Amino acid sequence: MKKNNRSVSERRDRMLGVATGLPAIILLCIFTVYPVFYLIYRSLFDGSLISPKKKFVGLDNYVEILSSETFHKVLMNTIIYTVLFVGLTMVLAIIIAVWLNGTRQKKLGNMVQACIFTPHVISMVSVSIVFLWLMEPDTGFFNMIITKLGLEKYPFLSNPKTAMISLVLVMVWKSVGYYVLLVMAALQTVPKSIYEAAELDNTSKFRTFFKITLPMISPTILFTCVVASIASFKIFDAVNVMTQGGPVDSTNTLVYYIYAYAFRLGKPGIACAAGVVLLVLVCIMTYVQFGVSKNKVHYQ
Amino acid sequence: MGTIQLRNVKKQFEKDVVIENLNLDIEDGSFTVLVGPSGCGKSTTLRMITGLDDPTSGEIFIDGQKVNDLTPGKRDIAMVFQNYALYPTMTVRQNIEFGLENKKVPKEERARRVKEICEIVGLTDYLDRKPSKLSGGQRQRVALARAMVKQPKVFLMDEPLSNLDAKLRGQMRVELIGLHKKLGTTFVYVTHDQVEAMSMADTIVLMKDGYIVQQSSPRELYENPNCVYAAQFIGTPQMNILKDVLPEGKMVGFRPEKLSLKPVEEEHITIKASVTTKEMLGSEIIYSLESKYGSLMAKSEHEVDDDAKLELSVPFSSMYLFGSDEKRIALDEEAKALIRKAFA
Repeated sequence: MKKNNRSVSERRDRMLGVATGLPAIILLCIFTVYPVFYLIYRSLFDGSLISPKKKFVGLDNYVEILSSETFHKVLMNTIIYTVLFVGLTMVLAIIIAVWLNGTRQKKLGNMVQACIFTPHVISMVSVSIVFLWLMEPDTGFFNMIITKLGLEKYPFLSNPKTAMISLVLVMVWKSVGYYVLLVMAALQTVPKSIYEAAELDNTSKFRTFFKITLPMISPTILFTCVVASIASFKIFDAVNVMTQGGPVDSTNTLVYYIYAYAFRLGKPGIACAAGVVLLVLVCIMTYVQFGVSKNKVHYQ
Repeated sequence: MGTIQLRNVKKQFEKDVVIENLNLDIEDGSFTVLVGPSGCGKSTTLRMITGLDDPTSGEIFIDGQKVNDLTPGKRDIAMVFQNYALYPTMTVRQNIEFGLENKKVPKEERARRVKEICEIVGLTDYLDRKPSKLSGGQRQRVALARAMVKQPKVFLMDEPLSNLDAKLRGQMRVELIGLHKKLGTTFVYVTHDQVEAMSMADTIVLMKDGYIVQQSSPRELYENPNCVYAAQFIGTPQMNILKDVLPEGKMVGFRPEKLSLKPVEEEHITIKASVTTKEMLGSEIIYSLESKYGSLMAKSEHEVDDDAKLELSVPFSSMYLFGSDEKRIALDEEAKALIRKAFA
């Protein structure tokens, strides 16, 4: 009798679980799972977005992009962008967060925090337009200052050699405040007494940072690295507004390439194949990041 | 050598004066316990000795050297924290070695010292574990080992046993006493627990509101408290203090264990009382009593009925007299006569 009772309540619990989870599962299926499978399916076809006629081409789309030099360049650009963006952002975010967390000038700290977080709430398109003007090679604000200082003009977005780094700097400026906030939250979870113990152990500031602070916040650093890497693999709006992938494909990244093939060149099959490649790359990258850092990250 | 002196030390947190003017001498090799209720300034005092907090004014000397301007790491001290403050990302070995590495002690010397200390505190089998994989008692030992391996002049401990269960606490108390005997180094220990203070200290510094009430050996503190506060802080149940019995606001006190349920031979007074509750503790019984002078506590081996009417005897030799300012005053013949009259 008792056993029966329990199984009734267990069944009720399970029903409740399914009922409350179902709406989310349905939405997830419609908007995430189905599109992923449709993407893979569509990448095997040729034909435009508007015509209902589609031709099955097998793996031809993949063969085409993987043998295309532009696609190789785009892939390389995306990787370079990701490495530069994630590296710069993380180093800056950690330095600023450690300073903000330790500073006794609370007013200055709050001001700096507000200043560096503000770009995060501005829309990417607005930021891009403002920087387009700031970085304008002849009449832009930056070059005005540079020439006033007696230095040579910097080409910024107009030269294939400097366009990528310029793009990276804009994106770092925009996002670093957000990552500072995440790192600061992690820093505040480190118990004060551990730092006091280190002080009693006569530990230098430098060693305290590398031996105590950094390992203590390693889970957050890993998380932010993964999130930032995924986000930078998907960079699109800044490229679209500022460079359209140019000059000479020097800032053409994967998602912009997909967009261009789908909506400008009218080859959605190619775009879908590139989308699948992006999906696979992001999966591999995330897996590798978690794998590599398994022994380096300390979970409490 | 590890003497500690505090001279005219004041500590203020913004507008809050925690310690007004503290003078304290701690002898080399002593086991000194700072005891008092929370907020009495005992932890602040300890933190000023470590250098984690700076005194607002006044001077601190360790081993005769003024240390006000030395960082905690340069004071040749070691501290055990209440929550142990082990480095969670390091193994037990790394935790213990960390301070030595900072001191640039050679590798072989480090390994030798770690091995030696771990044998003393029984951690040899756990050297490669992280603190999260250890029990509370083992973490406590790591904290102790980390302090010991530095071979400091002074050990400072901030309520190190308060996170342990009662049984382990008793065991660690014995171990700490043994450790102190073995090392012969100065121990300064902060606690709010009078039992810990009484059982471990050779000198107790009783504190209240940022000043020292009494500094003496445990026995002296128990037998000769210098005020009502000291008398009531030590001993369970606390000392019976009868107010409003003697004239001029004087108070008379006696410990529950000195209240005799049977008549005594020596000079004494008698108090009539009835039992209200009874707590059986095994070796003894604690009685709550009601008398016309107020409620009393008594501790005795003798068992009486639940609602017995008793004639209690209090010998003069176990009696303490306090003035209206709560300070202890002499129990002379004149005072005895006064007490006899009041309790007649």
